[in-house]
Amino acid sequence: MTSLAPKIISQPRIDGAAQNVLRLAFLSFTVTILLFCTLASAEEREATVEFAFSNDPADVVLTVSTYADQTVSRRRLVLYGDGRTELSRSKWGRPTKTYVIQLSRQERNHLLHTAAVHRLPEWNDASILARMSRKLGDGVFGPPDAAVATVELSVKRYQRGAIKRQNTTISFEFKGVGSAAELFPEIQEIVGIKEIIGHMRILLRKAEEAQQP
Amino acid sequence: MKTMSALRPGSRNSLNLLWLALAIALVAGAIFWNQASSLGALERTEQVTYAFSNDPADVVLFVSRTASTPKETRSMTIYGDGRVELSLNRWDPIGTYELKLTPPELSALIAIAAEHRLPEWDYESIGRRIGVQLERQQISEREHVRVIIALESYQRGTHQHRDFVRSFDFLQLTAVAEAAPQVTELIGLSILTEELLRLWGEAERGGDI
Repeated sequence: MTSLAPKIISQPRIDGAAQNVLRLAFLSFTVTILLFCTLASAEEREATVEFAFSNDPADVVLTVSTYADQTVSRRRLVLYGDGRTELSRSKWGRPTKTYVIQLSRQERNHLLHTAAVHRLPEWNDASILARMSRKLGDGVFGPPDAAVATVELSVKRYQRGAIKRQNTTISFEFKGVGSAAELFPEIQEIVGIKEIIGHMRILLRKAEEAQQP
Repeated sequence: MKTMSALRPGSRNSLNLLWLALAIALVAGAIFWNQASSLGALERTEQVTYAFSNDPADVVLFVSRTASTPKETRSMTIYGDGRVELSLNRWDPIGTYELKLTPPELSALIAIAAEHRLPEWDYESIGRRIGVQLERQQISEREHVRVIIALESYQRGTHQHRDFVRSFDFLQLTAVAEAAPQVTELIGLSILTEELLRLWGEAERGGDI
């Protein structure tokens, strides 16, 4: 008659040092698995957005400008397909200073990647207004003195799920990007503009520093 | 022998009155006919034509209603592919439902907004039409309705718009719509808020999220 009870097999004895090695191995294994899962999910999130921009030096792929009424100041970035970038700035109505720089392939891709993963090719005024209104209830968003950002983005191809854009130029403007990004961090598009404006400022500062004697 | 006399002065007056009444009736008829024709022409020119995006990224209609007791906002965000996000916000966003309208359901909802002239929303004009009734109205509740409508085209008579987004807010809709039931836009707003609450009711009964 066979018994269903588990058989006890003799276990080898493990000494203290071996136990520590085993613990360390287990910990390393767990951390590796966790890290792998995190990276995999990040890759998956990005993989859901597919996009391509022109590499042609004659094509403008991104134009961003900000205008602050109070200080009569304007910043502008024009990015061409090959990474050539025109930067300009004027303040208090003084003459505009313009710089032309060449972004590395990595810098160019980073800017366009920021635009794409933050869904700027999907920009829709009504959608932005609706998502802001959902949170505001009967309140109103409209900082009166905020700067106005204007964006123009030309994509060759963009796809996120059922949403597709092909050879199209999207242009829009938005007032109060900074405060909106704080108030509505869940609205990807606004966060994306804020990041791009941040890049533009850094590039402008670098270009200005490079020009100084 | 009595001869029949000509009509007596009293009878002549009656006849004159009869002629006068007939003339007035004819003139009134002509005026009525004329007005009826021009009304017909007006109705023909006032036919509403519109088009909206079918893109799943584009919001075509948003309606929210904020009530005061308890202070909460219920909203519906409708996308071009018929996807609907229902959202409830008290202090913070506390719930979202998602559902999908069939193409006829989506078209019917947009038709409510378009055919009640919401794309033409004009506070001044609506204010004039609401007029005196507002002053008589006892307003008992604070109710806030917000609408965002985005159409690719809209035309009614001389009103023509292309690729536009119109958003507006209205306070105390229930009370004002009761006091001024002739205002087309307010009828549209009332139907849309009823739809919003109906969809919310269905979603909550379904309880799938």
